Amino acid sequence: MPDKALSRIRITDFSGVLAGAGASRILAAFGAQVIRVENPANKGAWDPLRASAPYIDERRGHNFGGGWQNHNVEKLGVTLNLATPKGRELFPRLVAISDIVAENFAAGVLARLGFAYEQLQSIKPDIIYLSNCGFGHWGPYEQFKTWGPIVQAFSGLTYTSGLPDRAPAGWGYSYMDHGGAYFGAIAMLAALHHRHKTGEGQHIDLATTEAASTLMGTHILDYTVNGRRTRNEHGVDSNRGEALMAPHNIYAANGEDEWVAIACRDDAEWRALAGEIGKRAEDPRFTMLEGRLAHRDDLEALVGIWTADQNKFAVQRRLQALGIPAAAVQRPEERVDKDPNTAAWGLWPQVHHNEMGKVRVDGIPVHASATDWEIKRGAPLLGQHNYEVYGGLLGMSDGEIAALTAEGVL
Amino acid sequence: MSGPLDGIRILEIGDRAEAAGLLLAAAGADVIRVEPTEGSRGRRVGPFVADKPGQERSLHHAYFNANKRGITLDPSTGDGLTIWRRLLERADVVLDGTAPGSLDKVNAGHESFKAMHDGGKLVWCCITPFGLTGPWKDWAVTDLTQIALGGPMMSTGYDDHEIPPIRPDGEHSIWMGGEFGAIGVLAALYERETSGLGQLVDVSIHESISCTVEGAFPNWEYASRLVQRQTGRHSSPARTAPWQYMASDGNYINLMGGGIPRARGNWTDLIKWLEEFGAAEDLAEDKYQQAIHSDPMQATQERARISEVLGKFVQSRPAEEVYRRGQGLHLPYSVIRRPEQNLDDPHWIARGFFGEVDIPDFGKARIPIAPYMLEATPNSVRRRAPLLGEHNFEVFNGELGLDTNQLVAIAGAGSI
Repeated sequence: MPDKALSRIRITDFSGVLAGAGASRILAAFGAQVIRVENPANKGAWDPLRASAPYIDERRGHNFGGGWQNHNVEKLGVTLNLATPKGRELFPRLVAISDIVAENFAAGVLARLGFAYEQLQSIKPDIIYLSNCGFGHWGPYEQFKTWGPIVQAFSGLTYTSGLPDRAPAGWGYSYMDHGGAYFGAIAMLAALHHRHKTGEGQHIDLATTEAASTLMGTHILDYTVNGRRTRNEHGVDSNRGEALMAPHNIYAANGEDEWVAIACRDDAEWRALAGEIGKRAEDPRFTMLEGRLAHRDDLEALVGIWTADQNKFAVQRRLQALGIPAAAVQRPEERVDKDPNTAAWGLWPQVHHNEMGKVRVDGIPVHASATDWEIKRGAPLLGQHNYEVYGGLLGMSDGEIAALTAEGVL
Repeated sequence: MSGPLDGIRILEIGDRAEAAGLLLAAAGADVIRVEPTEGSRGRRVGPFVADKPGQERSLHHAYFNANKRGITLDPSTGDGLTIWRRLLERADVVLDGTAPGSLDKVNAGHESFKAMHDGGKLVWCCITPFGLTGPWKDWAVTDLTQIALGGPMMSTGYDDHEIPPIRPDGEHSIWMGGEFGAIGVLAALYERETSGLGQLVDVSIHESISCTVEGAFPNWEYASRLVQRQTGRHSSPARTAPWQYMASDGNYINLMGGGIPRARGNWTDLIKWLEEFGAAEDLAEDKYQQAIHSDPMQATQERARISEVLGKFVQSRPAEEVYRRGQGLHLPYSVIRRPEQNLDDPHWIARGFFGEVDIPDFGKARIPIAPYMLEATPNSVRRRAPLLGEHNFEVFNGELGLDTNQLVAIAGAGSI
């Protein structure tokens, strides 16, 4: 079997939840050996997802968190209690054989355990250290607590989602936990390049609020250049959006809580849509973009009446045949079980988890022609690879491992 | 040194690769944006300087193309194709955001390149709406339709399901595809250090979005549950208490998870804070302290009551006060800010997060520049976004050696 893109890379990884675990997961899929390190004293409970819903059946506990399993596929799992002297003696041996140490604890936690970047560097001079937290490792807010929704609220991502004269809708999930993971993966890979070229490792101080702000540079420029605040007195209409297109919205389709997205990028696409709608759309106000924008409410009401008694997928099919951007607002079961594109891509590979059995997980939206990703192994049970890592990689005997386990070090 | 990717040379072509190019340029790569002779689509996307459209006035272009150089080139012409091929020979990476197959129609795409240079070192990354081979690869899209199909929309919106699901503002489909484009390119470049070979990296925006919807997938896969959208908080299989309130000054605040602490010490501090304002009501009762350990996504009477009292309290205080006092008690609370409100935030001023970039016909303006702070190789704004064709002479003459007479003739024919 040919090597994968990152087969030569080893990561000692404390990263949890999604913003951290999601980053090393991507590198693991491309072949990196990721050793996820968890505290045996609390059975890995620092990561609340380890034992959280959703569950595959009635079983509960630290080996049954569905999200945890999804975010930790292809990793090895070991236990190590850094609060014990023997744990602190053992940890440097893992660092010494690693390319990267990654964590997303609150700022300062690893340093207080005795392993700030300078200490890691003294163990392994070219180590790359990724710290990933909401506000970064220094600055007035370094101790502030963030989760995805807080990152989104603070940075402006929440504010910019919603309808006029209403509260922000925000994002209905931790978008920036994904984003934090992706930026973390990019940063680790960039630092590997730098090391390859110069022999030099470094500390990457990733702040997910900063990653989030990066996504809104155009909004910020509109303020710094034009003095325009992101919302006027009525607020954004993010479904109509900033693009100069009309129609451009979400319309009710036939059925309960069923919706379809339609956008016309130019006058020709509107003419084609109007041809489908029929006589009622033959309105001279709508011929040109300026008129459609000026009479948007009437225009969108007209489109909405046309979609209301049609199936969302039927509208999608009918308009795509004419080259008009139209798409069903898909539900999870439609995306996962019925979407021909995600199926052809192989976006939900099946893994084997030692307790849950066969289960599908998120794949990677990148296919590389020579060294593609692979996800086959489920997430590790707590301490599942202690013998493989401490024995196989560090050369400890079974007896030593058993003794450290009994002492609560592993 | 300009960054960790110093020395990596990237050709970026087509509009869907803009964010990937931004991320790699910010990390120090030499990204050359290849535009059609009439300029890229982004130059016609607002907002504009002083709201006046114009080739060099788009703030979208100014942001997404900072740190890049820019040339004009039409690879569908004979001279254009010759120049394109010479540029490919000198590049490490192509970021190709054109429609699937469109460059190969004029013998300028990855298939034509492979036919000529199989075994070469070039990493060719295509970022397309549905991947290069997907059954929907030729569908018409906008950000709105991609966010609809990919899943974020059905998880996002309001408690009232008569209101449509919501597409968050900003071209997040381009960002998600761009982030994975950067990841794919960097993984392939790293692999190249061993094999010496490039490869084709196929990034699908639809697939990028579809695996960026957090709980919707595991809830369906593990428990056959559908999550329902809710106002200003996580979608959930069952309705949860609010997280978002309007503070006394009209700004909104988010109390993550309903604002209920998980640890006993935080709970005690929180009750003291409420009591300071005579707002604790009955929360000092023991049953509420017990309730903080229950699953935050499961609604219980106690959790609902805590949320109710907390919600009433925070609506009576200014948003920044709730944010700072809450965080002072180690509670994940935040004011909901507009993106630009952080320009003057003391934390980001201290970290030097915002950099300055030149905007033509305006002057210096601040932008976010350092999505990841690599301490050995800090990010910086090295150059403003290119004017249309700004680096034509530098690249075509200085690097490819075409002389002025040749360039005038090629330009006259519309190839550059």
